[in-house]
Amino acid sequence: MRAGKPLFVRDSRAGYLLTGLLLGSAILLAIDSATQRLKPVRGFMDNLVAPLFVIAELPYMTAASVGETVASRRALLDRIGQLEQSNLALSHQAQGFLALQAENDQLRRLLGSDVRLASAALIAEVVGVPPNPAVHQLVIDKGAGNGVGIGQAVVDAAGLIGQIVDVTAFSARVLLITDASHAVPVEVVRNSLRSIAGGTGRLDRLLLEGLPITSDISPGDQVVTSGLGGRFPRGYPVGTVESVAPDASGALAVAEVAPSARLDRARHLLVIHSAGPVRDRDDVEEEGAGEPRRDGFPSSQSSDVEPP
Amino acid sequence: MSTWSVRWLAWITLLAALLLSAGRLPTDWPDWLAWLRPAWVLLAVCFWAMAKARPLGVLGAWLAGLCFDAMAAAPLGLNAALFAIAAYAARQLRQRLRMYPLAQQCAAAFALVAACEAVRHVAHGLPPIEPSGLLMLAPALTSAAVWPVVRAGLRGLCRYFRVDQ
Repeated sequence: MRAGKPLFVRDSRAGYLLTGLLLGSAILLAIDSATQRLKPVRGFMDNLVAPLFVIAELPYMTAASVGETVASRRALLDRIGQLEQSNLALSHQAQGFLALQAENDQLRRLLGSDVRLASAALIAEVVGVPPNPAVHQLVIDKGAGNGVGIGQAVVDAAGLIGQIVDVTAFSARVLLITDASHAVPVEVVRNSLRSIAGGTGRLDRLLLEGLPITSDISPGDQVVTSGLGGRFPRGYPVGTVESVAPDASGALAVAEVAPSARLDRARHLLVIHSAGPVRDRDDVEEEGAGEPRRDGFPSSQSSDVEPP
Repeated sequence: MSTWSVRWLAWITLLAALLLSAGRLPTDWPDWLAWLRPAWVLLAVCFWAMAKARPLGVLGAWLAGLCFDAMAAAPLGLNAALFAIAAYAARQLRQRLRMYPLAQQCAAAFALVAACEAVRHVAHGLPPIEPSGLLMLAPALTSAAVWPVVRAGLRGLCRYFRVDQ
């Protein structure tokens, strides 16, 4: 007797394949979340998808280019005027900072203390945002070829943006300070109270948690990087305290901080190449001040960026 | 069209879907609009998984998911697993899904994307991230809304290149 055609055809090969792939995914997830062993794989994948961000950015680049081409002479003159005024104001401020730095170094020398090294900065442009609102990252157009390395701090004109977490040959990813997995050591400018500013997953809020309930911190206080931990240079603005309240236990206080940087608006960023930990002045003086860096960053004379 | 040509066509449309996902919003637009981005890649994966010519199998969906993981800075393997499951489900249920009226297909797309978003949310959100709640369903809503357009566009491509749907 001939067997009839089965009513329900099962695609068992696809089922086995799916089981195998799910197993593979589970192993990948476990390794990726627990270790750093998949860094090379992720680096390769990042290289693979990096051109997509650049292509996706093309409409904005074209629009900017067209805008520049068709801008009227009057508009350009106005813009040049504004930039000249802004440049003048900044130069005036920079002169003040130079005098202060010289005075600071003099005082440190008198105290027999060390001097701080200046940091070099590399200008980078944002070329993409990962399509995942739960992850606060940016893709910039400078990579390992330009001397960008993992862990370098990134700032904009107003304050700290985040740090480099992934680098490919021609691009890098910046983890923003507001990402839920990020934390940065900070201090309050007014009284040097130290704390950790943790990301909340919201672009407009950071949290200083675990503060003693009697801490001298109040709305309006400026918060800057403390430099502890060696990852971020000291003195870069992080944000302003908006509110302070007791936590759920009532024993500790939590402060909400509004970030200074324009995390969702910034187009041009500075990647800070920290000069490393504070070193003795003698060591510093032995280095050639204007010598170009081997890592591709401009020399310290030409484009030093001092913390405000 | 040969099998390989159909596969190329499927991968080119997946690349276009990845590009749509990679594009950022203008800087002066509100942040919450980012949550309204449809799951372009997942919709394209489901369409090709349902096609009679089978240009994209479970393995292809898994590889597309891995690319999406790298792009979205998600844990490697997360979206790969979700896309593979979605492709498998779409393949197994294709005869039923193809018979559904358009509104019911949109509802199925909503359910699929919502389930994927829920898994992503749990994977990313321990402890829970903000914003949470119903905003998490925004990509599912917009995906359901754009499904007729995606389907019509890809069907048009299939007709143009004489691909067996």
